Amino acid sequence: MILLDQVVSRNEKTASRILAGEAVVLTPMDSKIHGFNETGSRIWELLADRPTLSEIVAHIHREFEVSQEQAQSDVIAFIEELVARGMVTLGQRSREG
Amino acid sequence: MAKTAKQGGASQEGVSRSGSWMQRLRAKAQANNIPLHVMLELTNHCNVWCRHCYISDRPPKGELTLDEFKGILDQLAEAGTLFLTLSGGEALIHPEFFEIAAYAREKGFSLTLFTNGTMITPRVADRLVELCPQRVEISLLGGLAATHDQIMQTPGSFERALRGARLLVERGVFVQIKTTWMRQNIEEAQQIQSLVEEVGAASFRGAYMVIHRRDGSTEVADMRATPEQLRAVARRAYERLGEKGIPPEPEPLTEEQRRETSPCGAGQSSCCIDSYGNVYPCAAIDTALGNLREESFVDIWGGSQELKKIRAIRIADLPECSACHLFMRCSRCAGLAKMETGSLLAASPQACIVAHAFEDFFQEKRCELQ
Repeated sequence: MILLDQVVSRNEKTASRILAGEAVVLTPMDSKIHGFNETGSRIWELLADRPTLSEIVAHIHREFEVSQEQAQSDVIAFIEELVARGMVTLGQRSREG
Repeated sequence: MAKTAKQGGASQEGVSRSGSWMQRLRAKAQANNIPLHVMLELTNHCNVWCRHCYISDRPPKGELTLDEFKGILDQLAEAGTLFLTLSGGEALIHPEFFEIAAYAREKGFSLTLFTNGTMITPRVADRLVELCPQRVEISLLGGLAATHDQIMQTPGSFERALRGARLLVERGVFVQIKTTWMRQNIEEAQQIQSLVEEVGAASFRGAYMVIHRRDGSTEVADMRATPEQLRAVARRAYERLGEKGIPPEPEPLTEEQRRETSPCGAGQSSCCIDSYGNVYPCAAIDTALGNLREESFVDIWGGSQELKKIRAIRIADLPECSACHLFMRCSRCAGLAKMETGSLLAASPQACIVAHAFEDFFQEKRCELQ
């Protein structure tokens, strides 16, 4: 189960770029290329700073004008999918910050 | 309201680097002036001496420093480059190869390595795995050690290349074996295929174009496969595959294709940077567009008049090729055409020989089968 205070990090094995607003992510583990929609691309962009789930939710709620509940539900579903595909890892923020 | 993440955010659209997904990416890159693919030559130095290599000399000084390479990678990441090919010379001979490659991965590039494979020891293979390359392409220039070593002018290079390939395959790296078909090795296609399977390489690619050296010398021309040899390749494919080895008659170009389609990808969404900082539309077109020690990448990519001219070329601008029924079957290279004839718009005599050798054979067979 994903917790809102967990930190989300891109898998270091992936290669990616935001191309004209669209995140393109390569996973060399399975030689696949993934493309995300506008919101997914924004989330991938945010992952560069290793945010927590709740920080991502706050961004999406604010930037895409969706309710907090909707943003949280969608972000969790999206991150779960990325975890299942090995594109991100979950962790805890160190106490030292 | 914008679509939220759940509404298709993680949609997986592509399965490999080939096919429609890559076409869509290239089209997007081209439309947005993004240099999606860049080949970066780390050094002109090499530990072997391939007789057909297009690099003509190996000046000992003046190559880019580690800091300059990092600066270039920063610029390419900013410009949107995703696919980065590290090449040479022999890229692995560069004393700072792993620093450069690791920095490239930090910056999010998808790495491909072109190598002769001879420097891949278990230790090097382990370090390459850590870089998570998308693929490593290893040159194999003969099915027999004597042929490969003779073309590379380096005894033992055949065994070392195969060892390198095996070490990477064992570690799960996507390895592509590639060859340039030449007069000396084209009869060894079967042996090469067997080696590809024995090593366990993920794929194989053969090319018929032997391009001239960057200094304009044409001595590599006598290494090209003869029309008789090419015809024999087509015959063997027919003997192996029967009617399935005969492609359908080539489709003529439509007016829209002539008018709208670029004849090659050079400078459209890709370019090549040599180890002195010169930027080229591709590795085969010898016209430097600018130098990264004097100008920024963005200024060259966006401002080069020469590049604008190349990007504007459409099939209709090629007086001979646009009227040729074999255009869609032809591996014409604009850089080779320029080297052979002085014009980027001319037909490449070598490409014509290859295309006609195959098609003449296939046409004869089609007639026999009717």
